[in-house]
Amino acid sequence: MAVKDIKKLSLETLAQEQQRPTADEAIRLHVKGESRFICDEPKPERLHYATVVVSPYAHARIKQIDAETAKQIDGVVGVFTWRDIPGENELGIKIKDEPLLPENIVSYIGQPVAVIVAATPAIAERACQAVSVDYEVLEPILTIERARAKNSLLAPEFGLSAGDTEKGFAESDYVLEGVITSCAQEHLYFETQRVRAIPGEGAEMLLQSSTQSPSEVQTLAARVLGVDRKDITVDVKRLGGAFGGKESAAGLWSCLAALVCYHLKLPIELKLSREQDMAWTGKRHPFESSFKVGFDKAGRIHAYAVEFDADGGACADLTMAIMQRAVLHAENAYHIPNIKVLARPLKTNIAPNTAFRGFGAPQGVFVIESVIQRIARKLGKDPLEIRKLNAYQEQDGAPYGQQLHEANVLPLLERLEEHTDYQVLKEKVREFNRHQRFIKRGIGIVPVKFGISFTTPFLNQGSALVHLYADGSVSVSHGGIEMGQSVNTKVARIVAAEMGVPLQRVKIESHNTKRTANTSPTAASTGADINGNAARNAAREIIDRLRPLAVQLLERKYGHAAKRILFENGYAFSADAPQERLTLRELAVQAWQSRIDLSAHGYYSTPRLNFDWETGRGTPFSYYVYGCGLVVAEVDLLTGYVTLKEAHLIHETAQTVDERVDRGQIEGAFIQGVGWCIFEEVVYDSQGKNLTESLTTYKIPAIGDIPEKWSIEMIQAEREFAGVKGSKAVGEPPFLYGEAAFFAVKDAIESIWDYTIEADLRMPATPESVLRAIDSVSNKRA
Amino acid sequence: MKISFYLNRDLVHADVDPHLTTLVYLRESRGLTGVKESCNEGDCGACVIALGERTEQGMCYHAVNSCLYPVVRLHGKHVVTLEGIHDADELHPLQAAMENEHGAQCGFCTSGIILSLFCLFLRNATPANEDILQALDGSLCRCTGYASILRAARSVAAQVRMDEDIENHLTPAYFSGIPERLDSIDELIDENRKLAVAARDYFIPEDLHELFEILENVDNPSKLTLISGDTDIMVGVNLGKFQPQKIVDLHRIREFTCISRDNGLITIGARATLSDVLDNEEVRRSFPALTEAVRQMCSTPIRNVATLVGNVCTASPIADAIPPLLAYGATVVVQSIKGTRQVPLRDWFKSYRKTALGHDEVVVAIEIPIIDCLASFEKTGKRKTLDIATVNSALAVQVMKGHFETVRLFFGGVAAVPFEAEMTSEFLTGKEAGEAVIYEASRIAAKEISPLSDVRGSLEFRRQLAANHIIKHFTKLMPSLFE
Ligand SMILES: Cc1cc2nc3c(=O)[nH]c(=O)nc-3n(C[C@H](O)[C@H](O)[C@H](O)COP(=O)(O)OP(=O)(O)OC[C@H]3O[C@@H](n4cnc5c(N)ncnc54)[C@H](O)[C@@H]3O)c2cc1C
Ligand code: FES
Ligand code: FES
Repeated sequence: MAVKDIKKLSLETLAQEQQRPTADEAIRLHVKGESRFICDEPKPERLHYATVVVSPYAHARIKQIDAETAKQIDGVVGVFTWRDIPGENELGIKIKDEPLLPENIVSYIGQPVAVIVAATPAIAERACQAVSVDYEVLEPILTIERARAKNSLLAPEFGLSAGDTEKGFAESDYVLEGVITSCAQEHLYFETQRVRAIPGEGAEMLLQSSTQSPSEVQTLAARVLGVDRKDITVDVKRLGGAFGGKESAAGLWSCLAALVCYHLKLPIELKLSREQDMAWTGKRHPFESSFKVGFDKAGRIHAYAVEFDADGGACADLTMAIMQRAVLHAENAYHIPNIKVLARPLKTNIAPNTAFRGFGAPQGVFVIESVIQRIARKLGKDPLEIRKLNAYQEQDGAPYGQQLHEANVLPLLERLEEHTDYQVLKEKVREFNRHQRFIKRGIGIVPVKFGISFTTPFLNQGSALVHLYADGSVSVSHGGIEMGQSVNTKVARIVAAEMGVPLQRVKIESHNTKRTANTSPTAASTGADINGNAARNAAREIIDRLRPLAVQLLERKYGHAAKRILFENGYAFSADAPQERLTLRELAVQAWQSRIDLSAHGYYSTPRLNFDWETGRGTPFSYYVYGCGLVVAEVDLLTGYVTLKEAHLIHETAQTVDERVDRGQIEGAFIQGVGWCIFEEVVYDSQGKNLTESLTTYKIPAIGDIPEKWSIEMIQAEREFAGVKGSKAVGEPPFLYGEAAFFAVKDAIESIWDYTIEADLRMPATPESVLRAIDSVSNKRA
Repeated sequence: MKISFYLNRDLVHADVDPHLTTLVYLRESRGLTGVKESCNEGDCGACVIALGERTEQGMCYHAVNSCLYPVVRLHGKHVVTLEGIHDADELHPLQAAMENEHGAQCGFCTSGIILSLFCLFLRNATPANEDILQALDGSLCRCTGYASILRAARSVAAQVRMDEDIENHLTPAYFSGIPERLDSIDELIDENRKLAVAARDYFIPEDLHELFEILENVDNPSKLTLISGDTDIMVGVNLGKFQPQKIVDLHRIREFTCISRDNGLITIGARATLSDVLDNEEVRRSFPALTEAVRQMCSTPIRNVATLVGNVCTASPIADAIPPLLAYGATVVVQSIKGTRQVPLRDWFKSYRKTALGHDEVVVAIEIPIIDCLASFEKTGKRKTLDIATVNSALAVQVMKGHFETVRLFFGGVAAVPFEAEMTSEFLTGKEAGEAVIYEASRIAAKEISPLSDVRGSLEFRRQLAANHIIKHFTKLMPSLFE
């Protein structure tokens, strides 16, 4: 059998032949090593390298910066500080609290205070050491507890409520209170933060930035340079992973490169090493949440009050938006009649925490899911029973008033139960535990209801620019950023289907602020929805312009008038007589020569959205994604090591645009969620220095850590409430299934005492955390 | 320094800065940007390349982290990147499978993953699941959750099982001509070596005589750094934490041996990589706890380069091979121009990362006596693969008529140097084997050590691990005691 046949063989597993990748699709380029990331592009002539001098203190006053020695080093071409910023020294979008380079106060370790440019990275690095900065050290705030005590806030606290919690508690049989913590997480995108700034003529500048938000980078660069956005072009081909870590966080590095490029008129590369990236950039927000829950004997929740305290780090960044999503997901998949949620965005002296897949939802959901576990233990019931009892039903309203349509919590949980043969599985686990002394197994289940749309309503808009060339091939620019989630593959499929062209004739271009303007970040799982719809609109417009011409040409060619023209497989033909057809190429040439516009800009804004934080009421989401996950974990009681024995995920993709892509998103997000819950620990020392600033000390899941048995069921039902072409967004929601792994570990530990006691297991459930939890139960019993 | 090697299909003669890594060289000087840098310290696998060497068994291809591999060592070898694994326009079966299964998302890890698998499949065209997991133990991926990558690898193995002909497609046709072409490079070596010595700060001695000459004649021997696999040293260099002034690269020393057995001893020479140790049947049979330690060390591409002697010479308190070697009573064989001396491993460690090695000496081998005992190794970190131990330990014990005899117990990660738990060993010696005794021993061990708190774990955690390791060792060695 030839290699060609091998390809066919494994292709049998694919849903559609149509999904075969095309020669220049990213996946083909990746496997051949031909895909290019910023630093893989040929170097521009006279490329120079920028590095930054950063603050070694979490909180200090800059007294003096002495760069004279550094400037004397051979090969150094410049050292720049806040004094060199021609425009506004500000990176904050809503809340203006983040200088590009601080004038006076440094507020976290790793905050840039000066930029050095040199002929080689090594010289630049050496020059960094030669800059001496004189600081007056100030007292830092390094913990949530301390920030709360000092009322150190990034913005006023906010929240929302529904019903009457006090009344709800009064009517409950039981009331429990407690504190639940969730931890930080390093993004660990494989490609670290980087940018190339290339000067053009006059005020022109090109930024090749590894960013999820090219328009924001453009806005900020224009702001700090005091030029127009028209002078700055941001171009992004693809990112080597982002996960939210390049949504707002890329702005700083891009602007630093832009600043020095502006002064030196030299092409500049600024690239963080892995250690710098880990030590200096913000993480997922750790939350400390105090809750109070009231429920009846059956386990039905009557009232739930929760206060989220998030460590936002030194600047507001996206903290407010992240906490908003946490608040809007506080009840997860459960109908809670009386609820009160409060969010406190705390300011500390660590690097500004930022967007990370799930964007606050995982933190919010983790609290209510932990609470459910407690209710179950309190009542001596199966946690699944409590979950089912409280699950949202069709037409229930969320606390903020949005009606749930096609609410798929209970049906999916029941499906999961059936699929895993839950009662038998549970009995098997208990049987195992009865016979094992040093290892125990446990089961964890988490249902998910995840709202799709930016909670900042105006961001829910997408745009695209489509050209049909006179040879019948198609170029598409859209507002999304390709970062591994395959938004380009999805948009290409959508356009190909809309225009009836074979996939290999559609080219997705880099994101360029000259071709699509005022774009939203590629975030909140909305990339394919908003930009796919925009591209679809543009494609449709071009096709609509071609229709009359196609009628004319078909009539001229075959002698009779076509009523309805279809476009498929590169042909235009009459619905009644498919064999009488024109190639799209013929049609395009004719259109061009008939002076018909073959280019279209497409736009899309998500309908139905309105939400008002003043009242805490409205429709923040265009639809919800539903799913649930079950994990069986095994815990070694002597070493604390966790092994995932089984994972079963049921996830609603609705009518997926690309099944393989969606499966990959589910798998990847789940393992990242497992990483957050079990493996990944960010450790700071008492001075606010990140001690886990390399892969040697920070451990993400490796291939040996994935579940031994793993099933994923994608529910591909038709849904009225869905995204582009009846599909549902998939980027973030499956991250939350990782929490099932945490509860499985906890369940395993609690089996030691026959599920009568709650183990105080802290996230992440590392060996140390597991052993401590076992110890805490033992001590409680002693 | 001039080197000659094959880069995929092409013979390359290059004059290289010996301090460069292969990664920087391939990307910057050869424009091979498919090879990626993500961590620059051997911990992610993005930079992995396939490196072919001639051996007695023919060409042998190993996955290697190019970010830790000195470029001068490419001399006489065959470097394979993604460009070199397929013929003409066809995709290699692994590339096709990765594409079909969508085994790449952002694509940054993909090159390293495919090349790691490529080396695996050249050795074993129908790998079992565990083989695939092991081959990829040095490759992280932040995007895929690994499932699609596993499916891709399994599907190629399944294809080969169904149709053996496919095995031929695993090796590109041009590979067959490589050994012969590499032979012709040999002639260049002599000239090359002289150049090497002339470089003055990077020496590549060909034999011990030359080595000792360098050690004798250098004005300040403390400025010399010996390197074997260079995996430990290079990390420090890449992170800017260590700037060696003069390097003596030992990889060509003719007298260095691999692994041999005679007179009730197994000798692991300075040439033996961790992979050599792991794959060695004699070692596995005689020293299962050592094999287990090596299995849990580093990752496949690091093990392919790192040496056991290098591990012992780091004298690191968390070096994994050291506790089992101590438990088995190993000896370090050291040589200088004056001759050879044997240092019991117990006397080898002087202080934090300092050994008994003299400035004019080199370690040529580790000798381990074959004794009849039960032995076990344990390591606990944050992750089961590619992680540094928080605490590791090895226990060797002889059991006579239900009583513990000669107990040897060593811990790593609990002191500045590898630690012998004398009180615990003494307590156990002569006691009747039983659960209560073991639990008492575990309490003694926890008290006997005085560890520190650091990023890998608190002092309390380390104490608890030390105690639990003892129970763990015995549950493995004498499970019936716990029934
Ligand atoms: C990603 C990664 C993971 C790792 N994981 C582990 C792990 O899990 N467990 C573990 O124990 N270690 C680990 N290490 C550390 C290291 O790889 C091992 O210690 C390895 O065995 C060192 O061998 P080497 O040949 O590469 O040593 P080198 O780096 O060449 O040298 C190490 C030290 O030994 C000296 N030396 C080398 N050869 C000789 C000789 N013949 N005579 C005298 N002195 C000599 C050198 O001067 C140097 O001080 C890891 C390293 C990396 C980069
Ligand atoms: S770059 Fe990460 S292992 Fe080499
Ligand atoms: S595909 Fe992005 S790291 Fe593996």
